[in-house]
Amino acid sequence: MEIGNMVQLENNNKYYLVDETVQNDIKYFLANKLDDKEKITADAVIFKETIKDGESYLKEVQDEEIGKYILSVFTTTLINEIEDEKKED
Amino acid sequence: MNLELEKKKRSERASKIHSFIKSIENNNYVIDDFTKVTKLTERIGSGDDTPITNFTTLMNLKHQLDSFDIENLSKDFRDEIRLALEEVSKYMKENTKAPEVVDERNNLTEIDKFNKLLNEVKVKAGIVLSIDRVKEAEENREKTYQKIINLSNNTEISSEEKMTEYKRLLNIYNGPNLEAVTAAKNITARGNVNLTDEKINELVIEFNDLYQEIMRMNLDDQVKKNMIDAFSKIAKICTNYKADLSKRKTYQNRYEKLSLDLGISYKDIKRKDKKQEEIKEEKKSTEETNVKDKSDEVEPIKEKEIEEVKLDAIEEKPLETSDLNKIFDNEEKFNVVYNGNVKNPLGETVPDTDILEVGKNYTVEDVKIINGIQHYKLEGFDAMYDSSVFNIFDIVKEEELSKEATKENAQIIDNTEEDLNVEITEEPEIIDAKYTKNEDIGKKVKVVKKFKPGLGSKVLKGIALVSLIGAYYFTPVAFVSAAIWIYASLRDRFDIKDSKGLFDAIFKKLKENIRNSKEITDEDKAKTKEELEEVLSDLNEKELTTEKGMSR
Repeated sequence: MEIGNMVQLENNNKYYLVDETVQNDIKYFLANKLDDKEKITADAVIFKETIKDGESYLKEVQDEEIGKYILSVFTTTLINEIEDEKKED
Repeated sequence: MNLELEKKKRSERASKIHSFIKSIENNNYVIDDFTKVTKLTERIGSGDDTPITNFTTLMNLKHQLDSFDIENLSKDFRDEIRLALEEVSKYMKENTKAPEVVDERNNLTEIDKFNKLLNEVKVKAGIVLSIDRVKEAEENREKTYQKIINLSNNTEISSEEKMTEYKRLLNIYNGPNLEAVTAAKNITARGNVNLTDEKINELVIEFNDLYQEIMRMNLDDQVKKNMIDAFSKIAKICTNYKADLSKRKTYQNRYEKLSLDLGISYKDIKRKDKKQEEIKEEKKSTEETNVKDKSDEVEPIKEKEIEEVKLDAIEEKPLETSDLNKIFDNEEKFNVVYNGNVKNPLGETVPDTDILEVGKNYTVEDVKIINGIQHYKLEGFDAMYDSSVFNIFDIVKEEELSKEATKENAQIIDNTEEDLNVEITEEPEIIDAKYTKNEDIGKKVKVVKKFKPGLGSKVLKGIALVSLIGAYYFTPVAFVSAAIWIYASLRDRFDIKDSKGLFDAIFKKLKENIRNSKEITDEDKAKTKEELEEVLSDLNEKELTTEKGMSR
């Protein structure tokens, strides 16, 4: 499972994994929710990944402090990418 | 290899930006100008440490300003002047030469004239109106309160007599006693003149007149000498006070300019001001209610009721500029990473940083301001280290990690470039340790497939982030970061003229809510979502499949 993948969960909700980060040994994904036609929606979510018996499980981050932190990590990553791109130009 | 280096570099920059914004928040500063803060964080991202240094300087200036508290300075000045003038009075009383009449019409002697001038100068310096008047009035009121308490415990008189006396005492307590306290405060406040530079200059002239008058008098040699010494002392007190005022003004100007440049301001004062107003209003209302309710009471006195009355006697403390150390006293433990710096240009002492390992995670157990610089006391270390040699690392709650996980985590942070691969590649053995048997680990992923959304990854990331900021994690950190995104990315990347108003509105709302500490409502969430959907619709229509940076 990696960035650029579309994942479908057991409740049939679909998400596009747009970014990931590993913090304190835990992997978090930034994901856009997809609609039935697999179009991007305005809903987004931060998932915490757990591997159990070789299977991936995704759980929405609900702790506000952790959410804030992960959100800032994703945002700064995006800033860096944009800056790198500007330099390349 | 290059990829690893790039990742490391990116991680460092992300960490710098994150700690800068967290520092702003942790030190009770509030963002006034998000555009400026955005630009500063962009500079930090580019490797420029100036904004961090400027912020440290700002905190240093704040500390200096706090130490030049004008109210305390004025009080000290008045106390010193009062003592010096008391000495002058004492010397005058010791003078053995007979006073001469200098004003025959009013029969004024030299001593009378001296006392008159002395009194005038005391009034002008605001030292005649001592706080003792307030203290005395408060003590009288306290005595009435004690009588009420004693009455409550008195078993020798009937309930009816007790109630009559209670009403009488209560009327005194809430009437004349309270009025006396208020009047004393008003008098003191009037005397508590603002001792500005100009005011001190005026006072110096007054002191000089007094001195000239004394020198014209018929004095003993020793008294004359003592007078000269006393007035030299007074002149020195005035000069020192003026120097303090001047220093404070310099710090104030620098602080205001730097604060403006950084686009932030200290929020604690604003919050306290508001709270103070609320307390005042509440007390006023309680007071009015108490007076009315108590006079109609026929029930026996209860301790609780007396306590309510006692509330009226609580005096509001003057606002004090918050002490940074006090703020830090409330901070929880947090972790920092040693960034390899060895000295602080502003600090006087530099503990040995050789024993610290670059990149290693340390727990901060105490934060103190030393010489205006924020210092950390690390767990297991005796010295206080300058905070600028650390980056804040971990805000994730400690309870999230088991002891084993913490250990593993420390090892991973310690690891070199080679080990960074462990972070990227999935290691089921490690991640398996992250949940306990009963923990809800979420929904199972049943399908994974490649997906081409038709939009650039950066746009989608940006949309996801704004969505989360607007709907879930409503924070200044996220706000500033998102502002960076909006300015640095979308503005240049797409023609967002049509959407500019929308984004401006979102950010305006974010800013207002952050300032007012307003909880985001469901209505806010719905509105944000609706606005984002419009943007998505716009972007989808443009079919921006050729956006640069599509792939990671």
